[in-house]
Amino acid sequence: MSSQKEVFAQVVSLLKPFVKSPEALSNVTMETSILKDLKVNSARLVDVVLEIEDTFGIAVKDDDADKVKTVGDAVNLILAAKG
Amino acid sequence: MRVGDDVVDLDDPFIARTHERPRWLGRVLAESELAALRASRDPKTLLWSFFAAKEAAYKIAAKCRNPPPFAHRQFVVAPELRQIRYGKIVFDLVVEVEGACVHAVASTGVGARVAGIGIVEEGRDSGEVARRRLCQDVARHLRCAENTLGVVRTPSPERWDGFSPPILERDGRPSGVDISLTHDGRFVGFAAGVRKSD
Repeated sequence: MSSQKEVFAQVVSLLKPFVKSPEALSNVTMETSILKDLKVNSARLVDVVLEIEDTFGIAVKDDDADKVKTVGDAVNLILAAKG
Repeated sequence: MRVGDDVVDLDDPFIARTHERPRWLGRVLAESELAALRASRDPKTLLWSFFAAKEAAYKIAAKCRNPPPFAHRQFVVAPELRQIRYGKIVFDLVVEVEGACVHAVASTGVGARVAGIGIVEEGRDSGEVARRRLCQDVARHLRCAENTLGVVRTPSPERWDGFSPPILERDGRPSGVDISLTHDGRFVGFAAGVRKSD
């Protein structure tokens, strides 16, 4: 089973191509807002969800995807899906 | 009248081939929209017209006290791009394409819709440009001085960006004119729903 730290590092890594200002990734925490702080727009957020599905081998439901506001939300969603 | 709007810059290289990605499309579009895209001679513009319409309609839904979760597929755009449906709710829709700019305005209720787009010059703040354009056009519609109008947002921790939807004030008080602001790439968009009595 992956630890929270490992999943966090993978999430930060997969976010890189979708972040408009890469320097914003240097101070990412679990509380960092993907939309507001990293300026990932809603179209790119769809790509992020697809990347999460591919990277972690999980299926993300629409309702769960809508709850992903912060990096921590994504990490917790993945940990919950992987049990 | 309630309004929501969204703008898309078609020249963003990031979205150049999105209309050719089945998984992305399947996540965002309803079956009827996928069929329309397959039949379209300009699937890229149609995709982003659908997408902007969904975002615009959701902005209205998000103004409710308890906003529903946002799943793009559940907002279904009618083939002629004149309406968008969410469950039993039907929003009126106007989608305009000018060059590389797609601007969608969704609305509910009775009133006059004031909407437009603007180009953001390099170094300018897109939010400021959008607010300015909105105030200019609404002031013209209401026949009042532009400097009597102002856009405010109040802190709202539960919202994704920490603020409530924008409110248009007139002489420092809520104007009753529902508004929406948007930006993407080089473009800003704005919309206002003006009551007949205004």
